Amino acid sequence: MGKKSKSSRKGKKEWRKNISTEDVEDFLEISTEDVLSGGSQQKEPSFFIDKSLDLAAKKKIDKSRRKVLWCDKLLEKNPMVKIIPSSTTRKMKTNKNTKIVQAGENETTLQTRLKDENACYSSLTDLWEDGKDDSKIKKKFLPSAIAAIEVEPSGCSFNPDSMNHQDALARAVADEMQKIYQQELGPKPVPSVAPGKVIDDELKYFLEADDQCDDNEENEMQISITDAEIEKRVPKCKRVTRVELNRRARKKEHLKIEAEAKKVDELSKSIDDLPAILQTIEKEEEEKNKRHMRRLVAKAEKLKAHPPRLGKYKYQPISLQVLLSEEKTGSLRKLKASCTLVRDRFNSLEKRGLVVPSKKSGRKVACLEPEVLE
Amino acid sequence: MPKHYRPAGKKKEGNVAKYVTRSQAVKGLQVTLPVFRKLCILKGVFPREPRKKVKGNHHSYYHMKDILFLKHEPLLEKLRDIRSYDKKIKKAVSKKNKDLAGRLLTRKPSYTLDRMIRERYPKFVDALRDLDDCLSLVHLFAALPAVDSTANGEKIPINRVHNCRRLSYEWQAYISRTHKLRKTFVSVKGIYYQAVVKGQTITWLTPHALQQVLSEVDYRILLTFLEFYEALLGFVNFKLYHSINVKYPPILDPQLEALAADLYALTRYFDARSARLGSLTPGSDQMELQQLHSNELGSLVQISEVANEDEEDEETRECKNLFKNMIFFLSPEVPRESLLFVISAFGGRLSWDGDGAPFDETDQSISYQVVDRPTLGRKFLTREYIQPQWVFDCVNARIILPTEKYMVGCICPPHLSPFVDNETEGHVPEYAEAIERLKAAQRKEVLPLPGSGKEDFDDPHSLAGIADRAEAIEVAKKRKEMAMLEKQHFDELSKEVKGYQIADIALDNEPMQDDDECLDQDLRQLEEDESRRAEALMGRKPRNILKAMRIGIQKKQDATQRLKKRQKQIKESQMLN
Repeated sequence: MGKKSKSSRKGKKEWRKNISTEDVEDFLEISTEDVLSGGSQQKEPSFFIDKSLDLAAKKKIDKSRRKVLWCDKLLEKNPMVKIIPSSTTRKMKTNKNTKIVQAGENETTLQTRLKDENACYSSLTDLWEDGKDDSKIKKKFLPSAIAAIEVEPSGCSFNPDSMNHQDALARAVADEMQKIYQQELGPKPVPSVAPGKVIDDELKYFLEADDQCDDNEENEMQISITDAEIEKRVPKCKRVTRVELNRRARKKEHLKIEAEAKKVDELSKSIDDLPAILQTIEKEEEEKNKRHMRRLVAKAEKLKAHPPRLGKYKYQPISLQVLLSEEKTGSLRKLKASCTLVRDRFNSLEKRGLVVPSKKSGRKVACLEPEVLE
Repeated sequence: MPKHYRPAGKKKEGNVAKYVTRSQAVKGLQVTLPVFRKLCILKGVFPREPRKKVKGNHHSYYHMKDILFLKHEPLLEKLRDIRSYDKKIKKAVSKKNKDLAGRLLTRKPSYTLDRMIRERYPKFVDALRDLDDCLSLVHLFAALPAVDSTANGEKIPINRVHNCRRLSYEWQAYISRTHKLRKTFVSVKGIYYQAVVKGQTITWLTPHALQQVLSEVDYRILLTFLEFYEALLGFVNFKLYHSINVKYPPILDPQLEALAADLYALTRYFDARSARLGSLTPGSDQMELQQLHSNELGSLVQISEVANEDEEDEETRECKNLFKNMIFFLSPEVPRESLLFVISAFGGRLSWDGDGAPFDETDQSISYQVVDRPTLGRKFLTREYIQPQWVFDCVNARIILPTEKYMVGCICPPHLSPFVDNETEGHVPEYAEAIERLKAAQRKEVLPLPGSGKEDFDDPHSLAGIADRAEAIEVAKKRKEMAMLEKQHFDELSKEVKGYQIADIALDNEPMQDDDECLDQDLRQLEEDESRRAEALMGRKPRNILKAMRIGIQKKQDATQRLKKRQKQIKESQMLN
C-alpha cells in the first residue's frame, strides 16, 4: 500500500508546538509573588506538624528500639549490668559529657575517682557467679588441636636417662640434618660471577659489530623465505564435477554405515566383558578411596605437628632444647638452661595458628640456639 | 526486569562469600591494622584456611562471621575513641600546650575486659581449660626484665611485670595451700608443673631463674595476649580464693612485701584468714626493694589444719601427707621459689637463709637440708643433706625415696619425666623400675601378707597387691594350669561314669593339651571377632584414625625392639671385653 495522505497532525505530532503554558506561567507568577511578599494565605502551608497517628510506622520504630545488642543479651542475666536499648527517644538522651560531681568534691579527688573507675580491675567480681548456664552454647571454633603446653620428652630433662637422652639427641640431629639436606638439594642460586675469560677493551667493540652483521643477514633470509611461501600457497584449483561430488557422497555414507557397525560390535564386546569391566571399576574405586584416605590421614598427621598455611610465610618450628653430651652434668646448679623462653612461647602461639608467621619469625638468631656439633 | 539485583563483583555463596582477606576485613571494619590485631586477639578471632584461597596463597583469610562478630563489638568504638583522644593529646603536645596535655592525660578513657572474658568463657570450667597458656605467659613475663625499648621498639612496662609477678604468686599460693600439685618435671627449658583444679588438669611451664634474653619477636602481640591473660588470671584467682573463703585481692604484710618475699607473705595471709586471726601487724623496719631478678625468698608455711576436709579427695590427701612433719632448710644456691612452692604443696615446712625467714639454719628440728654444692663444710648430724633433685623425684614418685643416691657430691640418678607413660613407650629406664619396686615394697608392707599355699588367684584383692608385671604374668600362667588340671579331672570323671577304661584316658592327655591351646585360640578368635565387629560399625573416619594409631604403635614397638637388640649387643660386647 502506498503511504497515507498527510492529514492534519496538529494534535498528535506537533505537540511540542501546541502545548499551552498558561498554567505553568500562572504558577510561577504566584510563587514569585509569595516569595517576594512573604507567604500567602490562600495556599496550604508546605511544612506542618504531622499529628496523625501512623500506627504502622510507630510500631516499626518501637520494635527496632526494643532490640538489644547480642553481647548485651549475654550479660542480661547478670543483674549488675544495665541494658541500654539500641535507640532512645530525644527526651531520654542526656548530655554524654556531663560528669556527675558530688557536692564538696574538689578537682583532685574527682580525678582520682574517675581514674579508679576507669581502671582495668574496677569491677573485680565473680564473673561466673551462680554457675549460670547460657541457653545458647556456641560451638567454639578451635584453631588447632595442638595443646597449649607440650611437655618435652624425657630426654630433655636436666639429668636425663642415657637412652632417653640419646633418643632426644637423635631427634635434634635428625632435624638439623634435614635442614642441611634441604639446602643442599635445592636449586643452586645464580652465581654473582660468571666463568669465562677476560676480554680486552678493544675487542669489546668488535663483539658488538659482529652481532650487527648477523642480524642483517638474518633479516634478508627471512624476507626471501616469505616470498617463496606466498607463491607456493596458491594452489591450482580445478572445478569440481558432479561425478566427484557423487563419489564423495557415497563414500560418506559408507563411512557412516561402517562406523555404526563398529559401534554395535564394540557394544556387544563390552557387554560380554561386563564382569571384567565391573571388576576394574571396583578396583579403581578402591584405589581412589585408598588414595583419598591416605591423603586425609597424612593431612591430619601434618596438622598435629604444625598449623595450616595461614599467610605468606611458612611456619618454622624451633629446634628441640636438649643438653649436649658435654653439658650433661647432672647438677641443677650447673645447668645451662634455656634463656630464650620468649621465643618458645611465641613459636607455640604460631604453632597453634593464633598468630600468623611473619618474615622475622623464621630468621635464625645467631649463637642463641644450642648448636649440635655431632 | 531482573529479579534480584546484585552488584557486579559481589558473590553470594561459596568460599568467596565466606572468607575475606585481612586487608578486606580491615577496610570493612574501618580500623587500622594494629587495632584490628588487638581486637582479634582479645576477641579470640583467628584466621582460618579456606578450601580455595580466592585472592591468593599469600593472604590470611578470616571467616565472614568472625568479622561480623567483630563489627558489633562495643570495644571497637572504645578503641576508636582512644585513638581520637590520643590525637588530641598529640596535638596539644605539638602546640606546646603542656597544661592541656597534662589535663587530657589524666582523663584518658580506658576499657575493661570483663565482658570479653565472660563471652569467651561462659563457664568457669572453660576458663580453667584455657589456663595453660595463660599461666605460662604470665610466669614468663614475671621473669622478664622490664625494658624501655626492645628490639622492635616496644616497651615492656614495669608495672605489668609487677602485676604478673603478683598474679603468679597468688596462683602458686592457692595451689600449694590446697595441695593440688601433682607432677613436676625439670627440663632444659624450664620447670613444668601439673595441677588438678576442679577436675581439670592444668599444665604450665615456668622459666628457670635466669636472666631471660629478649628475642626478636613481636612484643605488641605478646603484650596484647598478656593483657587478656592477666585479666583472666585475676578473675580466676578471685573465684578460687573465694571458694576457700579467703579475701581477694589479698593484703600482704608490707615488710615482707618490701623484702620481695611475696609468696611467704601470701601464705601468712592465708593462715591469718583461715585461722581467723586479726590483721597482720605491719613491720616497723622498711627494707629496700630488692632487684627484680633476685631469687625470690620462699616461705615457711605454718599450716594450721583448718582446710576443708570434705572437699579433699584421696589424691589431695596423699599429696598433703607426703612431706608431713618434715622440715627443710634451703641453702642459698638452690632454686628457692620452685622448691618453696613444691615443698609446701606437699605438706612440708621449710626455711631459708635471709631476713624475714621463719627459722634459722641452726634450728634443731630441721630434718633435711637442701644443698647443691660439690663439698660441704660443716655438717649437722641430726639432718640429712640432699640435692634438690631428691625433692622433685619424691614428688613424682609419691613416696620418700632413699637419700643415699642424692647425697652431697654424688651424681644423682636420672630425673625422669612423670608425663611420659613408660609402658606405652615400651622402654622403661632402669631407675623407673627401681622406683616401681620401692613403691611395691611399700605397698606390700601395708597390705596383709598373702598366705603360703592357699592363694586364691581369682580374688582380685590379692592380685591388686602385686604390682610387678612379671609376677602378674606368672600368676596368669598358674591360673591356666589350674584350670587345665581341673578340666582334666572333670573329663576323667565323666569318662569313668561312661565306663571307659583307664588306659584310654592316658591317650586323651595329648588332645587335652591341644584343647587347651584350642581354648586359647578360641578366646583369641572371640576377641578378634569382637574387635572386628566393633570396627565395622565405626564410620570411615574413626576407622582410619584407628589404622593410623595402629601404625604409630607398630612403629614405636619396632623402635623399642631395635633399642633392646642394641642393648643386648652392647652387653654382649662388654662381657666379651
